[in-house]
Amino acid sequence: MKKVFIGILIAISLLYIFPIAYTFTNSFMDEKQINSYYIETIPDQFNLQQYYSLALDKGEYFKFFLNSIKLTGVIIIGQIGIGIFAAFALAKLKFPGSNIIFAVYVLAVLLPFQVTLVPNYLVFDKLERLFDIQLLDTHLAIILPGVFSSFGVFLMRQFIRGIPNEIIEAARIDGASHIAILFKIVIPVIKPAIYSLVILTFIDNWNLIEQAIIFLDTPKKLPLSVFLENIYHEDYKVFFAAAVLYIMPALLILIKGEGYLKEGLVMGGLGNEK
Amino acid sequence: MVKKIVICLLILVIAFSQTACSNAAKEIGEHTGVVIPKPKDGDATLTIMLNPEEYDALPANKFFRDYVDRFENNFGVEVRYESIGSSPGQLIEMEEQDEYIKELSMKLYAKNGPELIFSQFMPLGPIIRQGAAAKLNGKISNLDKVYDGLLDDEIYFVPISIRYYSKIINLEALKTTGMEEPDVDWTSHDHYEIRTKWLNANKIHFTSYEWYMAFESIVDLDKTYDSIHNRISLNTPITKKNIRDIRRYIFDGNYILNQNYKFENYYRMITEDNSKEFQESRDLFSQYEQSGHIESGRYENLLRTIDVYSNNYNYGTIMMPEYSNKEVMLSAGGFAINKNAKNSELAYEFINGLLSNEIQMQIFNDVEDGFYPANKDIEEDIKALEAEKVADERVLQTKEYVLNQIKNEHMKIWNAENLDFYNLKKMIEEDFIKIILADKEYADVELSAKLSELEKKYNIYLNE
Amino acid sequence: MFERLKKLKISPFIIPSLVGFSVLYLVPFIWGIRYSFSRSGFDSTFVGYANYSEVLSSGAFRLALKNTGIFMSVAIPLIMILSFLLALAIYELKPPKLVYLFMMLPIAIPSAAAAGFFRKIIGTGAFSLMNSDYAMLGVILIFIWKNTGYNLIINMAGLLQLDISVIEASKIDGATYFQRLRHVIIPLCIPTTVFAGIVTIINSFKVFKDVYVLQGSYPNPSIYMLQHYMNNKFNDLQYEKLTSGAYIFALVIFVFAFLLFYIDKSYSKRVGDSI
Repeated sequence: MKKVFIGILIAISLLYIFPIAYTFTNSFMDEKQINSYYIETIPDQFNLQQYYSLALDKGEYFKFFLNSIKLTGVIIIGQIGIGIFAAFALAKLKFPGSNIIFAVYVLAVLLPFQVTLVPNYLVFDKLERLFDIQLLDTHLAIILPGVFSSFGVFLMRQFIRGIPNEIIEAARIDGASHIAILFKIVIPVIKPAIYSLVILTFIDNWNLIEQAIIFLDTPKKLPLSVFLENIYHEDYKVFFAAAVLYIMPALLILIKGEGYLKEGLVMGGLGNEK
Repeated sequence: MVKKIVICLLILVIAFSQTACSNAAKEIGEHTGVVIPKPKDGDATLTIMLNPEEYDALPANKFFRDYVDRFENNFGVEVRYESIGSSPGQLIEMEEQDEYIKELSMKLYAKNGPELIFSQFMPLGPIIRQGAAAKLNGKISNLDKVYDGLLDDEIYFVPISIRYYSKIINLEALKTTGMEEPDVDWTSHDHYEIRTKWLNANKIHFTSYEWYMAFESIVDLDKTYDSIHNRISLNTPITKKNIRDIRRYIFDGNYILNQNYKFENYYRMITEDNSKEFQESRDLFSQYEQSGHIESGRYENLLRTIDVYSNNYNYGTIMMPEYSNKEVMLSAGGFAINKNAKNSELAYEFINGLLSNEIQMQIFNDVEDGFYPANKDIEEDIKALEAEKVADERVLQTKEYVLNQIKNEHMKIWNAENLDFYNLKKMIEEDFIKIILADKEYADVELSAKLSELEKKYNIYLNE
Repeated sequence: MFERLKKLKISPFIIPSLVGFSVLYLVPFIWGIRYSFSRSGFDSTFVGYANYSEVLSSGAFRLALKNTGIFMSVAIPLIMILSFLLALAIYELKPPKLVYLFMMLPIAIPSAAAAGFFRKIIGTGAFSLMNSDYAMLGVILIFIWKNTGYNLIINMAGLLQLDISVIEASKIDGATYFQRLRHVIIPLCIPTTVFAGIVTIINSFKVFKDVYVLQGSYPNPSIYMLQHYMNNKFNDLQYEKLTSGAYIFALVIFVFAFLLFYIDKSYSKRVGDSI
């Protein structure tokens, strides 16, 4: 019986992977086959032409790659660094207005970005003039909203809520300060949440396009996601190779992160033992 | 293990990214043959915003660069170009018009945008409609020199040069029909007659080009649109008649039809670029173009008679204007001015200079791209030049005809108009393909239902 | 300064996040409302409710609202239930690691990459799914394919964090699997599920990109959604209508969000709130 269910799961997972496998196999096809009208899954001739063209003719692809890594990396660190404190406060420290703040945190990000895009731009403009700094056309214009998005705070708060209060009370009675509680008790326990956050934040920010176009003027600062769009429209014959390389980091993080997820809880003393 | 792979990959990535530096980064100069000067230190700047696809239009032309230099020296300002990817050095061509408009509108909202917004093909209608452009009546003295028909009562867009797209009739092909050369004020019906006669005398295959021509002439979508109420009426007797007519036209003997083609094949032939049917159609069309198709030849700006004359000579064609029973849409290279710009005065001066007789004459003489000056004062000088070089009376008369229209009637300029309907036209046509080229002809009741449904759909989109 | 803050009992932990969030999200959110009461993005004369009434009487907006409503009320519960079941199944049955991986991967694929594939399957030809009246099914399919991974990750993290002693205790008490599920596992998963719900709502907006790559700005009317309306308004520079439409829509979303909050709050009452 169990085997049947596992079989079903495997079948479902194959459905999910098929379009991705398609992207992979298409990256080894030549131009004619890519443009064919039908779905082509097996390359007629396994060739690395696309990758060569990409490496040699489109060297700037890799510059944008580094841009994306920089942007996403900083955002992830910022999200966790700033968010963990806020999440702990909202989840366990009762203070006036914590519920309202939390509600606002969630509601303000429920709007699609086009709505707040113009005011965002204007806010940056005003900040630039107020503090005499440059925000627009720098990576900061993308990093700052990414770091202060309430996504991370929200996720971690939900997980921290799940920690029984008794444990924390016990630590307080033992004289631990809030910071000690945070680092010694809370963080180890919510490791799965943190790894989830890393994965999800990475995915979200790796695929940012519109914000990058609006806030960045200089082409060499653009992230890879924008360039991929560009390749899709202009240079379709290397698109699949470009797409494969594009999703590599995301795949790596997913694969690695999945391992940490399982691992993290064995340490915390909770969860399944395999 | 994974760590090692990751580090390896990172090293590879950094290595490849260095090749980009030594790789000839597309200098704007390399792209257009122009070196854009690096920004100087200066107080006043004049910023011109360009769509990256239209970079070739201005900076590529020597007259413009010289004018900019003179302007900078005269007024002690710096003229900057802005676009997506405007920094001197790398230019990434953004294919999407959307992204450019988003970028431009943000700058306009922030009230620190460019002074001048240039457009050659890009629609400026939304910018004007929403009040982002400055009203120019009385601000620029040389506006008096522009042909009256090119300016609205409230002037927001200043055309610097204009392009009137010609239609072509191939003389060799015309001979096979036994018909006379059409008059300069021909109608769509005249063209339809010539075509049909030609098709009967020279059987050709039904290609997607033929579909467009037949559709344009028989199912005249422009007539279904009521611009005052912004509504389209499709479920009308005349549309139904047109549908029946075009179906008969295509299937009843005017063309050689591929017997294996069903509706799906036709649909793919017309709409899907990477299909086999599309390729076949394109190959056939190229064949016909080379062997005397009724409209084979090279297009030209009807106002540039010298070029028209040489094209006619080389390709054996005559160039015709827009049908007299249809509204003319001109294309113009020109500017709108940002209402909230800092240095509006400079912008007015800049445009004033561009409209001067001297510069406009240079547009006529120097520009390779086929634009005609918008300045009416130099008309006589141009006529003198043309009289020397153009030996064909007909070509000169056609130009007179068109110029009279521009002088006396209000012309619609593509870039400055409200294009709501035109943006949907292609979609409407695709929907009509399903009706007209269906395997089985639609019965009247079905047809009414289908047209009603389409009507509803497009009226919703029109009145978004 | 910290003394004063301590008096107000506002934890300093939250200050950095609050400041950044307010400047970058709250202020723009409120600022946007002002645009919805102006004549245009370039003309700030106050026009009262004119924009709202124009937007509400626009056939396109109503169509978009209807389609978005249909999409969200079908796709969101569907994907949440599906991913919870999948997470549960993976948690209990422990299939090969690849299964979990394969289901997660689609979230990493950008819209452009998947578009070519989906276009060839359901998007070409005059009578394909995307050109028919049932195009919404295609959109829901793409949405589920792409976003199951998100919810899966969240649900798995939630399941893996369950205190195993509680589950063991219920086993000892003789509860059947379904009873365990209903009374222990699901209630303990509520915070993460609430989070997954909000995330799914946010992601449902992103499906626009996939539809846009397939059908452009004016798609098949049955899949013309609010994002299309807003994107077109953005390109037309009709920012006042964009904001009016968006805030009308936001009100609807807030209702659903409050529902989720209510569930979250009743959970906290059961499990224990703060220290």
